[in-house]
Amino acid sequence: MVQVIEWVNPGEDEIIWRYPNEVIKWGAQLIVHEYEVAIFMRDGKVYDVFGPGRHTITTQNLPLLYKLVGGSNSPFKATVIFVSMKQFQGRYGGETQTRELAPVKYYGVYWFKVADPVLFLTEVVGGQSLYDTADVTKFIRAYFNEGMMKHLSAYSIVDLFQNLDMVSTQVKVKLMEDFRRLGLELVDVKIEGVNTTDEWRQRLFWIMQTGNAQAVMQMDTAKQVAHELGQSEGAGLGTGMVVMPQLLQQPAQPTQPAQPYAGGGVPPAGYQNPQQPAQPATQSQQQTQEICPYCGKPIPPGARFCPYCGHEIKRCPNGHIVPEGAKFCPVCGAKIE
Amino acid sequence: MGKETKLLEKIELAVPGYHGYKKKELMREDDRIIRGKVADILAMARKDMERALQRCAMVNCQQLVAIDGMRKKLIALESRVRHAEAGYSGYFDRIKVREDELNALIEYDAKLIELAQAIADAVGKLNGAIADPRNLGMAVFDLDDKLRELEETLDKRNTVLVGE
Repeated sequence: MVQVIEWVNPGEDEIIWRYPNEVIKWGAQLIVHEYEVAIFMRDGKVYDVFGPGRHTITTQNLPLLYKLVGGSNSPFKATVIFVSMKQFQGRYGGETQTRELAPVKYYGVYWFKVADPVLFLTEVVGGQSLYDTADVTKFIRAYFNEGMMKHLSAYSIVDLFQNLDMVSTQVKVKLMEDFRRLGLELVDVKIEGVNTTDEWRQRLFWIMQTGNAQAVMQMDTAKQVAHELGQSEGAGLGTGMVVMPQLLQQPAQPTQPAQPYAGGGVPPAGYQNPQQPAQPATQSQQQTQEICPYCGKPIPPGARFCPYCGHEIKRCPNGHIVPEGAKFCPVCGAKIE
Repeated sequence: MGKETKLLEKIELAVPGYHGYKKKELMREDDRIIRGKVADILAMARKDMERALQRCAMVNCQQLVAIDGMRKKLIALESRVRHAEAGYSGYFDRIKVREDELNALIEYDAKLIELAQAIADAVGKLNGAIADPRNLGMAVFDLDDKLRELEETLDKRNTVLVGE
């Protein structure tokens, strides 16, 4: 009787199916459907990849031959592995930081399909026995999330919220190569949602209003310092309110609406808007007008202690004054040792 | 390698009353082979387009989303060509697919090869124009036209099978 090899009723999420019988008779009929391919392996080697249609398989399993050589156990092993070529959906989600170190949560879906069945079989399935979408997505999610975290952290929070379609396309293009290496094709990526903390949402609002992230950060620092002062022992009623004007008496940066990247769309990672004053100039300007956040009196640039109140002035590696207990500089985002 | 009929197929072609069916079957197989070739050309073009996308992301060109949209269109066309109807009709179907119709399908397939090659060339030009924003816009429009043309030809091919 002719042996017929066919993947009958594949499950919705099944990517791969191995024909359970390894003793395939000479002349067995292999039926491959339009949405799949079959990889034929003999003696441990990949011999052919069959497309849709009916194929006659020629193994060395002629009844006379294998009984002569192997007795009851045939030494001529052959394997048929079916690989589904349809599109599969995977979900992802994670947390990362933007260029300004704003915490960002993201989630969405991606669609992938097998592009190179043999590569997929050897790279992903072979050693790991992964046979359905859940297993495979678990395996590739690590690649995906790592890529997402790496690429999203190159964008600013404004780009992320204002140009989500452009960002997701750019991220997809960057992730394509990782998928190709596994024999997969990344068909599409959709970022369904991006979220940040309430605090950063407020900042985002002001950054988008003023177009000047530096000024917003300074304002934040001033508010925080005033709040801390107000809570310190011996502070009178409304101390923070009194100190606020002094903290904010630095000349305001020229307020311009957020400038889009000259080339349109989202600027590439590391892009700095030439219309905004360069970092060193702003820093030197600040250094000449530093104010002690504890007593509100002007202090010499780079001072480590306030000459009036004697308080220690904490600074980030870039020289910005930071509030006590802060782990990151609110101006430049640098980590504080 | 060569395309030849096996002994069993030769017998089938000689059997009176059956040879017509066998002949049509072979024509459908020819149609399938040509469509496979068209789909392969489109697949190569898609890979080139993905390279263009990566270059585009590198230099941050404005047409990134547009090129990605065309890539998706190309994926859809590739699948449509590869899995297009092959011209089967049931015994009681109102519209019969005869040899003439199958020949017309194969003629359309030949036209599809030309169009697919034109798409591959247009993608090549697009790749070359990534660094030149002035030419890139024109290259994008040109490719879009070519994709549309192939889509229309594919639609017309399908009208053969509905008896128009």
